[in-house]
Amino acid sequence: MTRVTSKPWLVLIRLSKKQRRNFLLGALGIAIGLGVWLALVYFKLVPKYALPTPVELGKLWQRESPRLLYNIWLTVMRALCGFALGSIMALFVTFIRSWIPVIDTFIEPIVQIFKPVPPLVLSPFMIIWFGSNNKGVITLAIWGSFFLMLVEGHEALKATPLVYLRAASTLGESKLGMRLRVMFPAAIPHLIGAMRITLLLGINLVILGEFSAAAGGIGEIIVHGYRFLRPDLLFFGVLVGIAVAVVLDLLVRIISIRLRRWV
Amino acid sequence: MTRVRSLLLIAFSLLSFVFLWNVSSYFKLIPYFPGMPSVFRVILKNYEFLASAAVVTTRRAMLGLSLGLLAGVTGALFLAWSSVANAVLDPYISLTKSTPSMALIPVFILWFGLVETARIAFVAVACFFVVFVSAAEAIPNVPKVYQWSASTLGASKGDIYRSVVLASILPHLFGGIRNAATLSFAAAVASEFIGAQDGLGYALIHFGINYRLDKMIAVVAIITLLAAVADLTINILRRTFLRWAVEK
Repeated sequence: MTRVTSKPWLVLIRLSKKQRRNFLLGALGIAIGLGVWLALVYFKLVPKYALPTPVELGKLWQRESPRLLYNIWLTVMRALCGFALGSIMALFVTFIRSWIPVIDTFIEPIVQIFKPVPPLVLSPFMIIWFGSNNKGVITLAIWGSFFLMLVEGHEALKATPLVYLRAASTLGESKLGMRLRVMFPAAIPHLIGAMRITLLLGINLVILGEFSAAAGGIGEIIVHGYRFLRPDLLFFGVLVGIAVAVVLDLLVRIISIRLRRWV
Repeated sequence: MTRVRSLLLIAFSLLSFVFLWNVSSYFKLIPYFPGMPSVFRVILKNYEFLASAAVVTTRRAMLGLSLGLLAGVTGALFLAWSSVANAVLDPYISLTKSTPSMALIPVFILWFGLVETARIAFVAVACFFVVFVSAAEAIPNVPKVYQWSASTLGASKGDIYRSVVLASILPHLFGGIRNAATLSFAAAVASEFIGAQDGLGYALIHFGINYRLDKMIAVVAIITLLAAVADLTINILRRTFLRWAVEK
């Protein structure tokens, strides 16, 4: 463990020998990647339309940052809405399923029918039903998040150790308390893993939806770059897509540290 | 709950699914939504077109999957062997972990043009990511105690690699391979959304322009079936080759 200091560069010195080696090797890896990129563009090893130069990316940002930021915001908002609504609905259904066994048996076959349908291929349906707008893209993300979370949540609750359940019921825990204080907390590590996968799927679905929906967003930046042979736009879109996914994943992890403090 | 009752419930659930589907199409509760009979009719009527589109997509998915698995498994084995490679590639591993792979479709079409290669390369890279990341996540979790005791008992680095490291990451690797197999079909179809002239993804877009939801649902049913078959095949392979890990 490294301590937080007022001089953050000291962290490098405080690291163990192996940690420092890994850090330096990782920096080397990044340097190699950047070097390959620069060599490819500046020695003209690839055609001009295939990769942008860093200068082009900078100029793009300088010229069009308000529009780009608005499009990034659109994608983040859609992905978060789809993820939040889909997973909350799924967790609610999971709760009901664990409460009433009849509903569980009733829902299971329907879930089994929808589970193997890859949500990525459903984007044309959403555009037909909801049009090329927020509603279509968000519904696609909700659909994907809902079924992924439903399957994972059910599995997570089923995996509650029997010992916990027996101990809690011996101690006189009520049916509601059993769920709120035993089953869901025990499932939290599994649920957080599921949330991270679901969030990435949500971003994937939103970007794929934006390819064909033409309703703004990172997907539209990428498609414009491809259509008008603008490598700067295209790669800016891809890089920002990755960055958004990394940042949102980090947020889930930071929140999860609080949630799983007891583990 | 007794067995009979749960069987009855399952039958009731399936029946109500069919009922709701057909009622919502009959009373036009969902726009353009077709009834089940018309979906079956479409499948029988357009049998040849759908089959040829399915063959095209399956070819893309399987070629991409095998290339991606080849690269992914080789990369994973290399990563497990060398801790230096692990450290150098670490930034890239954390990036691929959260790369929305669908954003890469236009990149491949830009690089290779609107040809077969672009789509196969995209499927290959999407599958590679999944397999590689699953292995990279498993490698740090290989129990150090096993490695120490093996080396105390006189195992060479090669012995430890074969009997400890590989044995511990293989189950995770197979999990990744299974995810990649299901993803390969979705990725192939998604790549056909942009500028394709054949395949199931093209069919989906083409029927979508004409608001033929009956044909679109038939296409989605075929994709789902293909993905389920791929998933099942990998699962059977896992059960045969990794019996020791499955029955744990």
